[in-house]
Amino acid sequence: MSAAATESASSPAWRLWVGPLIWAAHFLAIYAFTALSCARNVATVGWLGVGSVTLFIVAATLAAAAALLVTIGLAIRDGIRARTSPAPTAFVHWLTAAIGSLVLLAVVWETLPVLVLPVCG
Amino acid sequence: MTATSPPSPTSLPSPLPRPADELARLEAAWTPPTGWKLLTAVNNTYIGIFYIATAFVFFIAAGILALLMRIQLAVPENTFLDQGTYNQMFTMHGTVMMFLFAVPVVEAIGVLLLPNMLGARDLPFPRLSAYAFWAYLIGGVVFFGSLFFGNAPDGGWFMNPPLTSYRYSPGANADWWLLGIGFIEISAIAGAIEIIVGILRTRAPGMSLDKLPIYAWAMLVFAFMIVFAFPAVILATMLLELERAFHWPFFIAELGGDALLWQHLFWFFGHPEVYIIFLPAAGMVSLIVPTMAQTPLVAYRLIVLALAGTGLLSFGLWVHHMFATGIPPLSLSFFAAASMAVTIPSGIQFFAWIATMATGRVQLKTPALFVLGFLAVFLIGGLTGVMVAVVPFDWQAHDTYFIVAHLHYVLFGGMVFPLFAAFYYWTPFLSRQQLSERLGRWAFGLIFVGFNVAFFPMHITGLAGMPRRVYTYSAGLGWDSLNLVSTVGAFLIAAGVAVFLVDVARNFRLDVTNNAGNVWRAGTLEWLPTGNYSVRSIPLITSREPLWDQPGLAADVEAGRYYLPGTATGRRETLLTSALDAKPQYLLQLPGPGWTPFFAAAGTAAFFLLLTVKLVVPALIGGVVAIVMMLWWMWGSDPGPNHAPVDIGGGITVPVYVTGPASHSWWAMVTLLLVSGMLFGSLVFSYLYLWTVSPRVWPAGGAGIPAPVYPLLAAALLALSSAAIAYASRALRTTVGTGHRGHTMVRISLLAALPLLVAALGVELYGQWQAGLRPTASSYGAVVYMLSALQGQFVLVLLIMGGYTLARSWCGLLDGQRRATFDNTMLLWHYAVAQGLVALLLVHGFPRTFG
Repeated sequence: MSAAATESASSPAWRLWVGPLIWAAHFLAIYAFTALSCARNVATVGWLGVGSVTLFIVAATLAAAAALLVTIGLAIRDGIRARTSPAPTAFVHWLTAAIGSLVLLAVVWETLPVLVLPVCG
Repeated sequence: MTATSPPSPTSLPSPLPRPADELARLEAAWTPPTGWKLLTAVNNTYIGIFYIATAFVFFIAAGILALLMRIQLAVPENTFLDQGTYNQMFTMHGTVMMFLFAVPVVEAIGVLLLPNMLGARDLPFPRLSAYAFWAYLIGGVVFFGSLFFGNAPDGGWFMNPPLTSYRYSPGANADWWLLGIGFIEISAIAGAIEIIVGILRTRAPGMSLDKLPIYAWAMLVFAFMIVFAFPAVILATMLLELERAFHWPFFIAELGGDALLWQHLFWFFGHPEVYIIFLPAAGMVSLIVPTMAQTPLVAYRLIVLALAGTGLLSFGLWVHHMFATGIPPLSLSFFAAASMAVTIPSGIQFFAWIATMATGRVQLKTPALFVLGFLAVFLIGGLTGVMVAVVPFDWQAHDTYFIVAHLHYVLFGGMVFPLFAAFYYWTPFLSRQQLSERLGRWAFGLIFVGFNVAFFPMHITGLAGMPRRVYTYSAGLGWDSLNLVSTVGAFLIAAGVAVFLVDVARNFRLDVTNNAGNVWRAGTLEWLPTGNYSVRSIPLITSREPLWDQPGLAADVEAGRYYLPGTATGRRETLLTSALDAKPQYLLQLPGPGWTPFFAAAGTAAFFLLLTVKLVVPALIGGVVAIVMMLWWMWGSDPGPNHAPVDIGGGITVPVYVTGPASHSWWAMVTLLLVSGMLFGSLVFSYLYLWTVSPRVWPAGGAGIPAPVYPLLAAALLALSSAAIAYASRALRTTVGTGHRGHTMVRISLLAALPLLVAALGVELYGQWQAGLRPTASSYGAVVYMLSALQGQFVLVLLIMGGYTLARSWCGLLDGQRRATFDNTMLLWHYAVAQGLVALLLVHGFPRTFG
């Protein structure tokens, strides 16, 4: 029983959640920051002529992208190492990297509008 | 394909000949109830069929409402229906189709198919499925019945306040929606937990995650989406009902509320809901297409990615239903971008299906026709979806018939066509004979042509300016003939459905044991020879299409040559395996037929429905009945190690009882904690949202906030109660049997922990009250008291669970080994304490920091 419990806790399957969580945190952060800045009329405050919302979103995206790249990189590395282990382990590493890549694309897409659109209208 | 070499016939786990009485004992354990005792059935086959039939009845009922509306709209200035009735009808059509048909039917098909497809004997919580079904049936029928009393909801299926709040909807109409649908959602969550644990833990040995049928992947994502999406709408219904019943102003602008909060919460559920309906249908298509083309599905891994990606990104789309509400343009663009991103996984699935069909030779049987219809119709819906994801276009099309066309192309195309494909495809699994190919082609032709005749013109009607939800229109606006055509189309759909019903009446003969069998030459496990016990022996899987790649599998399974060829304990049982690689872990003893799920469901339904008509005392009696029935049903469900470990064949011996993180009940409880966390998270979002919108009603400079001593005392009491439970857990670990002195410590700790939890809540409420805060005064007051109200619900549940755990301890049913009951209570306890601490931090820390 304890062996089964240990297997559950250390399973690479848990890593499938990392990409989704980073995406959700990024999405929530940029949405909340924009909404609050517009509601409180503080969206114009900035640094070096760049608005605070733009700065925040770009920073959040860089952080999220870095975390995702690490997740994808680790999954690819472990996937290669797992080539000799049972198929499910390699599959889970592949899926972790694939989901990470999809959400990385989503994170980048969700950031692009800040470069072209007015923030609060 | 990932087939490795299958086991050779000589090395199969259970040698022949099998003992003479083995099959008879298995059949005896799984004998279904008959006659009126069918109400006590809990087996997935029965519950699944009841469930699908009920959902289909609601489909027809809501379809009839659609026909009545189409009659009204056939000609301008029609007087067939008056405005009030029409309002009720479009509200009920949408609500019933979404909540009483679409979600239940896909869940029902999962309940029916999954155990067989996974090589399990049943789902891990059969009585939970039965409870979910009966609650849904009773609740749904009563809810629909409100229409016959002119008392049905009439505020649109998404029930936007302020229209639906007490000022503009004073009658009980909206309450039917809030309480009726609110509790049917509980049934959906119960089903989702069942499906998650079922898919992750009851698969046949060898069916590792990379060999899971795509349909099971789809259902897994579907169930997680319910877990994450439904709590938001449950919270929304609670808030609106509290506003209606007790005037807590969550959505009233003058008092700091905001009607848009409802829309955020509703669509945080509502958009994933679209994919909650679509993904199971896509999963079915991913099984039907390979069978029809007689070739494995192309790009299995990418489809798994697509299912997970769709499920995930669908949570970033909710505001695209709110483009016309005045949200800042940059915020809108996040959702437009996420809407574009979700087209990628949808596209992956599409191309994979097309590639699979191109790889094999598609037999154009009825299921394949419905799949092709799905591809065409859903594609159009997807393309108009991309159009309305473009913000400026959406501003033009918003609230017009263009949206009605789009959503029907997506939902009818994405879900109803695959559903009919599934009916034709899986009937031989359930019935002695398959449905008629000739009638099937007629049904498909009528539905496909009728659908496009009905809904394609609506794109144009919408672009010509016809708004949604109008009960009539003036002649000469350019909408007349388009509407007439749509009405003709609607009746063609109805004719197609009628042909299908005739086909069912003529050819469907329910018989799982002597079913028509694998007429399509499919590759997945549900086509193995089956009985009420599912498969005779549980196969070892080495391929994604075992019936194609493992020769002789069906015969060997039926002969009992694989694992667990009979009943090891004499009871119903199923094999629990590890989540990733499906290695046998233990044998789960399952319950047989019983009355408790039925009466628990009836009691739950009575509680919610009688509350709607303000019969408070009878409602409370219903609630008590429900709780008593649930406790009664739980009493026998933690049997402890009541049987020696059993040999399941192949030299594998597994225990019949486990506790801790490996146990199925632990997994179910953790899933429930995810639901709870989402519910609480939605409330925290509501708090912060209301503060963003209305800082003026928040206390400034710390004035009006209770003194720090109150939250500090409440936090200390919470922490102490958790510590007491942790101590009880340690004390329990050492106990064996009944006479051990550790039992006393467990009981004392539990008895101490209960009042500490109640006292923490009391201190918080007292602090707020004596500081002068009232829930009716402002949205701030309402949301602060709501945080306590939610905590109060957990405290109430823990009082019951704590009392129940104590009762089991006194009765000698709890010790160091037999502790699943305690573990479940402990998990929820620690969660509730953590939630309470976060709530205290928010309520007291936030206004002090940002006020």
